[in-house]
Amino acid sequence: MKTAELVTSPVRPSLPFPPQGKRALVYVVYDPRGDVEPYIPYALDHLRDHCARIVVVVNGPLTEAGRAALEPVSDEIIVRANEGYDIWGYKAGIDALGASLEKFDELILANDTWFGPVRPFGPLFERMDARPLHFWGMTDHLRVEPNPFTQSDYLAYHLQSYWMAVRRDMFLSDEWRDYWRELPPMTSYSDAVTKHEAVFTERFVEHGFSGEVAFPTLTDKIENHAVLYAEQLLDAGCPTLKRRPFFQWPPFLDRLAVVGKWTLAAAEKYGYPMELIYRDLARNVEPRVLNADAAMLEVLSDIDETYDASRPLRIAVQAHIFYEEMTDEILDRAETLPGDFDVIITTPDSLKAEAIRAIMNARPPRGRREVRVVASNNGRDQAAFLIGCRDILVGDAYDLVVKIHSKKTPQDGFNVGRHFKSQQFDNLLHTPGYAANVVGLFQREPGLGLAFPPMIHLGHPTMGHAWWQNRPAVESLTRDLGIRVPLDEVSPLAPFGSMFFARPGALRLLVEANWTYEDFGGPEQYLDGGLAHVLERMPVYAAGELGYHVRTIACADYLASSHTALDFNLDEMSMTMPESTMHQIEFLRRMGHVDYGTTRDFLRMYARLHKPEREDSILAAFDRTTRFRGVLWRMRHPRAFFRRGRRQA
Amino acid sequence: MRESAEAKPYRRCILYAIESSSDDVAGYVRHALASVREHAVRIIVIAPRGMGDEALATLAGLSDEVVRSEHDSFSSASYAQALGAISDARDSFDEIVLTGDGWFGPVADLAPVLTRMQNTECHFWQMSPLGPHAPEAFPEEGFPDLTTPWLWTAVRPELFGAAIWAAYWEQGGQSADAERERRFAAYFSERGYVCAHAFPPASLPHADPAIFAPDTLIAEGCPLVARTSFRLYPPYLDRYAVIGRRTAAAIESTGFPMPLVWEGLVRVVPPKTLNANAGMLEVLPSSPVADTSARPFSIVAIAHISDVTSAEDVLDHLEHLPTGYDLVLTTLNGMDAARLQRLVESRASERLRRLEVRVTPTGRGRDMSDFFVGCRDVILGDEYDLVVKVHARQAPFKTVNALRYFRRYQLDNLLDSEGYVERVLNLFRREPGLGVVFPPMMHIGYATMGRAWAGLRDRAQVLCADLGIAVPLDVSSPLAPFGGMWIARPEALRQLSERRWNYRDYERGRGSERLAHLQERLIPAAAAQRGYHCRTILTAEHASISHSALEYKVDQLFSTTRGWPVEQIRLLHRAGWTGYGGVVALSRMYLRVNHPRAAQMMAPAYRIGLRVFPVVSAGRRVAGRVARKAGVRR
Repeated sequence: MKTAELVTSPVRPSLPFPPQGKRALVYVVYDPRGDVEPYIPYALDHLRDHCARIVVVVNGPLTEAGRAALEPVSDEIIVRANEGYDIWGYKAGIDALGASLEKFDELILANDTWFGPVRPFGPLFERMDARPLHFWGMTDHLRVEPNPFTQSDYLAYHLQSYWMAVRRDMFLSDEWRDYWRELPPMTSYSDAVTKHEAVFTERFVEHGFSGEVAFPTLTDKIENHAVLYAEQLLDAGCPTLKRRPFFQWPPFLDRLAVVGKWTLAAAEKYGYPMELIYRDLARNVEPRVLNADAAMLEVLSDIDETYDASRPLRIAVQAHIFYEEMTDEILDRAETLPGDFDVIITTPDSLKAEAIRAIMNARPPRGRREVRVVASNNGRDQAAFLIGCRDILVGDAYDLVVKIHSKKTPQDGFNVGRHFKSQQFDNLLHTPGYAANVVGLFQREPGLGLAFPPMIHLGHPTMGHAWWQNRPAVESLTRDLGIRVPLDEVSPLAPFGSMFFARPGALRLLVEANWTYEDFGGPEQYLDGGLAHVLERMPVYAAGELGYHVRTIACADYLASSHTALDFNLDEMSMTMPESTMHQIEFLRRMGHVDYGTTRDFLRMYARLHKPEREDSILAAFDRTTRFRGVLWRMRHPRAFFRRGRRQA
Repeated sequence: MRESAEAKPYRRCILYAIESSSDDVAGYVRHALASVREHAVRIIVIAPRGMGDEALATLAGLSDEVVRSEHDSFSSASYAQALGAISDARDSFDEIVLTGDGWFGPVADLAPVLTRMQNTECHFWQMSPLGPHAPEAFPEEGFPDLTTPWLWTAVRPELFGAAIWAAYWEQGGQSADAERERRFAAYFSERGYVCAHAFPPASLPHADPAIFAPDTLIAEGCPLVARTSFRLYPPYLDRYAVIGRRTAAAIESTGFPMPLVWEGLVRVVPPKTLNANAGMLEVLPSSPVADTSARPFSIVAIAHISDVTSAEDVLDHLEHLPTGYDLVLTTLNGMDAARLQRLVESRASERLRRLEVRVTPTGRGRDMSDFFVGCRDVILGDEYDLVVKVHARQAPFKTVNALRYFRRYQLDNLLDSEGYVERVLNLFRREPGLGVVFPPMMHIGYATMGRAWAGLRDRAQVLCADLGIAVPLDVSSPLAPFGGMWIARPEALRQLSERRWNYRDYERGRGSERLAHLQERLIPAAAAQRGYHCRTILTAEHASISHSALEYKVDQLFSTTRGWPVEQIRLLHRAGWTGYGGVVALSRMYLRVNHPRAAQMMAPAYRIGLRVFPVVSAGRRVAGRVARKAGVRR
């Protein structure tokens, strides 16, 4: 389709794609691990029907596994340093094709920033092949004034660089040769936009080449359609689905009312294998960001709506019971599960074990039952699970394990403690219908690694702080275990409370670490930075590394209390700041920690906002006045000064 | 041991104080007075000065005597007044109980508790222990100290016959009114009188269980539930994990009639606060409902359609209503009206019973004026049990995403599927006092948080006074069907709809400018005035989208301050308006946090600064631009 910005005159003569024409594809991959996510071979495999030659350019490392994934779907693999973004990757591909380009009628430059084909390529190529033109892009971006990257002039209308097709007359032209020969170096994302993406289209239109866009901008407002209108583009027939709407900063998408959940629902409706999307996002996106961008919370009902009884899962319930009087309560909860399940109870001593057995034996069994006395209560439920029940996690005996424990949280005050317990139990095993729906999630999504309640917040000061002191230790542990899933910035996505549904395979990296009870230490180690608290924050990242995604799950009852509280608190917190929540967050975070709001705190905030480069010197100057301020204070408060003097004397 | 009750009938005198004046007597008060009747030889009701005549008559019928207090609302001194009124008969009583409308109940049989306490040796007893301090007040946020009638303090002759008793009431017990009940036990214990508790501290998990662990008290068999537990600042209750939804469920499980609870709360608690404190959001499944044999409602849908291209979407959603609904479409011109008429007829819905299309004037209050003026006859008639208000308005300035989210959010959350609608109707069946349901305030795509009054709160208060709505209004944002779609009982809207509005009222520049926005924001308060409560409702899908977004945003926004949300919020509120963090704003924030008195003194200067600063900075910007241009030319 032509858009006004693609019209040029005089225009050079152009031809449709010839009936038996040949097409080459340069496809640029960037994967920090070098593993090549499976959505890439899927895309290349589907492009194979339309491309006679596929050159894959890998920016950065490529592992053996990555090469093995690419080889069957490509003709040539070029591995280069990760320099100059995808644009220089294109150049490397073009250079590699060299003179052989002459044999082709069309060249596609595409990168790996999209999932697809969600809608088929066939109709697209059929439509575009029939058009006489020199180049075409998948989607376009309207002209923006002023240029958001430079705050001056304008950002030109352009075909987006993730997919650009160029016909023979153009890629054999001098202008084309000169363009790539003179391609400037690019060291930042904004370079890639301002020095190529936003230049290319305008340049070649000016040269008289005829360009078109397959899916022109859908609305009359200037927005990045490929990202913000991904779902509507799919509806329009677009094969590509940009990855960006699933990793961009959630408050940004939120402000623009982009609902990633609906985009995913559309992709699923059009038959795209969803596990490819989830796998890639689980490995490469901060889990809490993904949880928000794709609304990965499932609010499940107490009516069984999804469980498939004809395909039962092999389930083990692992319950660490310290308070044996809670045995019945825990078994009541476990028995909400559908079908048969085994129960493996761990407890720290044989006396408790006897009491637990007696209670358990009074109930009819729903599967194998076992009470284990663990060698130590060090690490409590964490150690009992990872060490004491290692055997049930490593084998292939179970599809699903439910980890619960006899939580009392006596240190936190009565209400707070019992809320934490019910927040866990209710959101995991509320009723038989609810539990069936949770198991149904695992039946439906083979890549679902964990499901657990959303972050506790009523009665707990977790919001904004849930890493507490544990981030450095989590960082180092993820390094040791080879986990490269990016860690969330403000609070981790984690099963706070350490109760969850999990596929044993998703926990493999944690289980294989071969913990000992000594690693956990005694009760004195049960604090922030201690192994138990570190491991509590690990499962999502460990599962993500292996490609498993996670969901948070909540029952309607909990959600009512949680949603109304968050709604009220956010409303109250926003009262004194202008603009949208996104701006408010940006503002507060730019200003830095308010702490106690002392003179020094305000001085620091002032410096951050207005003289960031002089923050240190301003604060140092302030600190030098401590003594002087002390004198001032004593002059203002003579009585307090004397009183203190007397006491000291 | 006292002589057993049978030997001589126990002579109990109950002093029941009413907190604030009203024109009628709340149902739970009538229920309470009726329930204590059999346990008292004498009931004295203490009514505040402004109590209406009709209410006084009702109270007189439920008691032996009504004492008119000298105060406009409850004060502990009112008890002294009542004690004075019974002084002649005082010595004939075995027990005098100081209580009032501060509790719902009895949620358990009173008799066993009273009998048990009758046989307990003591000089006075209280139902449950009270913490030494009143719960924290948040006056800036609209939550000043609450002075409520006492829960249940029973005094025996040894104490009320003593001289110290009279002295106590003369001196006021040396504590602030809001804390007098709490200091009572300590005051007399210290002076040698023995105190007992019907539910003693040892068996309870909290020093102030009536407020902080009300459901535990219920589980222990305590017959009274303190109303205060639902009335405090929500982030404060959040801090202690006091979950009102759990308390409400506990009350309901005793079989106590919940309508009395909700009716007893809606008039004293601001609507959004109540929604938060009692977790009054329902997430409903969309799957089909097995049993649809419930009593049918007679339903009318009122749809304002100015964007005819979106009419189908609205009509599709309305088709989830049960068979036999009526539809009134309003639109802005005859051409669209004809088009809509044809459209609806061509769909040949089997569920739609009667269609009426009305033409209404353009641009004045849009869907709201069409509802309150253009459909006045429909909403004021008594033909319908429920009215569904939806619309398809033109919104040329919204992005496609924002508009789409808005429409899906509103329509899905009211009319997602047949099963969903059936469950919404079940809410109305279960709760005769449920007045209006609508989705919670939108926060995705709309900068509503913290400012959803849109500067109209003062106006709203004026309009409330004018319409006779005495319900307190929330400070930050109101609870309201933002977006103008809801399902309501027509009676719940009467306080708003009975006024003879006309289209001129919605014009700009008139006294009630932005009337449409005001009406939208006052719907829950208007319903509350008539004793109806509201619930917010969501589909599971929208609950997922909204909660995920809220959680992320809250996590980020609360990341630069320390402590619990209540502390973080208070710090920012204390600091005041941040602006964009300019020097003026930061200095003022600094002063307000560290030197509040100086900040007060500086306030006029600040206000001038606030006016001058934008002018100066705009000037600077223009100058800068000119200079830059000049520079470019050079």
